Amino acid sequence: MDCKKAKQYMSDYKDFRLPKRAAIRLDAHICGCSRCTHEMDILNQTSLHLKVAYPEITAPIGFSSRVMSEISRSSRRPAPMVVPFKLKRLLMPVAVMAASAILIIGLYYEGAFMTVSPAIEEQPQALIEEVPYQNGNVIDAHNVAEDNETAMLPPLVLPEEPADSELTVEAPHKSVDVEDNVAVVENTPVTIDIPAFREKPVDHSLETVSHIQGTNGYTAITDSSFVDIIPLDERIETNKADLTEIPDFSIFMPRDRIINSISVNVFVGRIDEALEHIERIELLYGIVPDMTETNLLGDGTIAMSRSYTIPSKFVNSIVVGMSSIGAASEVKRSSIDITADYKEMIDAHIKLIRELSATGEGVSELKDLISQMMRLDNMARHEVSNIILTIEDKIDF
Amino acid sequence: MELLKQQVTQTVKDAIKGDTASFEQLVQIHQNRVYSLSLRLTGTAHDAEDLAQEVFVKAYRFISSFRADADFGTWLHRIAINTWLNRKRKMTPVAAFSLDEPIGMDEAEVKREVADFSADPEKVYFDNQMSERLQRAVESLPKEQKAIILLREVEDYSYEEIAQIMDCSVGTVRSRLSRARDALRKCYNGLTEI
Repeated sequence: MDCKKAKQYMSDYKDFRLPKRAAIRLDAHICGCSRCTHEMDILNQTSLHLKVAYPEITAPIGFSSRVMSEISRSSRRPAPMVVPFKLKRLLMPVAVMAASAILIIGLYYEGAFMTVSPAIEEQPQALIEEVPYQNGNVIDAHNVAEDNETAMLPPLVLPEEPADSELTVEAPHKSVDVEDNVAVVENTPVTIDIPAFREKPVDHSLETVSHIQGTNGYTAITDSSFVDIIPLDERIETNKADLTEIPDFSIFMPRDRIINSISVNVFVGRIDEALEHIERIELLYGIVPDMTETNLLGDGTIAMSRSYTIPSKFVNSIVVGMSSIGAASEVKRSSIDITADYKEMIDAHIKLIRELSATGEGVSELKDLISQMMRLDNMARHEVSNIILTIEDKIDF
Repeated sequence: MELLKQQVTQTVKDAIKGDTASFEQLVQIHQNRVYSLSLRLTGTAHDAEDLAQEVFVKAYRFISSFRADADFGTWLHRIAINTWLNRKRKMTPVAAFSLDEPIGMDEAEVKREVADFSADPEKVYFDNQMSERLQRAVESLPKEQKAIILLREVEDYSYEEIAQIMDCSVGTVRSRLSRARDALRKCYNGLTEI
């Protein structure tokens, strides 16, 4: 057998698909040929690396709800639908909450579809729910979370049929208030409007409370266990593309079609230890978190996550740096696909800043624009910083 | 395990009868695998969700044609592959950009990055590079080869299952897989020789 033939056989050989006789001949050839030994080794290594390159990925939160909504919108239905007693839907999301509880850490800000309340200060119980949009690096938390399901979620006890249109349930949800930037959580009963609830799509939320702090100082509290049962009109359905329309809601906003994002999650209970190292890395690379999340989990423990958009040239270094922190439970890097509208908006801003910088006119407008850009994300900040370096001798910043 | 299997089979049967709640359960059971495959095929989260959603909508529409004793997950993957291949066939060929091609910027150039999942600091750099190169190499394969390599190497389907999903012969699976592996092997060699 020559090397050319051996190479042709290798794929079948690897999968035990080669007839025995040919396999023996190939074995003999490989043993005596260092080149083919190397090629076979490469074939096996490639397989291993492919599994690393394409890990198991969890579907975005709320995906099944969206599928079912789409199906219900579709006019082509295979058979008359049997609509079960809708209160079963109350139990289902609660069960899924636990299964997804760990998942929430580090994923919030990647949400494409969000429910936001910009007036969070006046409305402390308003909620943000964010569903991961691009989660190529999502941790598979299901197995872990399932183990904790019982501990984290007291069972709901519901009557078989509600007698009235309203039903008060001692549900394991929390009410949230903000005092000195701390989320105060209390168990309180909730009144569920049954007809409204029946109309509401199932939302697989999480048993966790998050205190989210954005780049521009906005704060928001989420109580995911509560999301499912608040009336729809208390929330604003939006998505990433619309966020720029919401005043005071400047959030991580990537600047090109593909953007690098890193999030670092911290071992529960080791926040102080991790922060010291994280802030050193932030200082070193001149990055600031787009978002810091402090999550109060269902079992009362606190977890933290910070997220960044990162200029490409620093990505590997920062991932390595963050990974080396002993208290970091996970460092995730992802590429995020963003809207063309956002890219256009940013490009237009940058262009205008350049034009104004070149002409030296409209200093006030220029400063405003720069201020806006500096609040957006690290990529924008780096680009604008480069411009400032070229004009700082002309304009007093 | 056997009990779970029986429960899933019963859920499939109920869904075939038109029970939407059962179908929703099936969505929840299979959504991660379908979404994973969709993301691997399309490369972006937006397209992946779009594809995965279409898979389930089609499954719902055509569930009456599904044999309850077959593997529902394999059937969903078959729908995913066919839907994706059809979409690719319908698309007008466009100039592909290389992931090596930097993103154009006035002041500087930024290399395109693809997702990376490493967490081990000692291996992270090499793994990053390897994963990115392999993903690019997979992207550059002809669409049928790409589908087959993902089904075999990542999804761990057998040749027979792949033939069923791709609606082709086992021989075709073998030859396409061999060609795809050859291309990826060259890519791997290229990186290790740097």
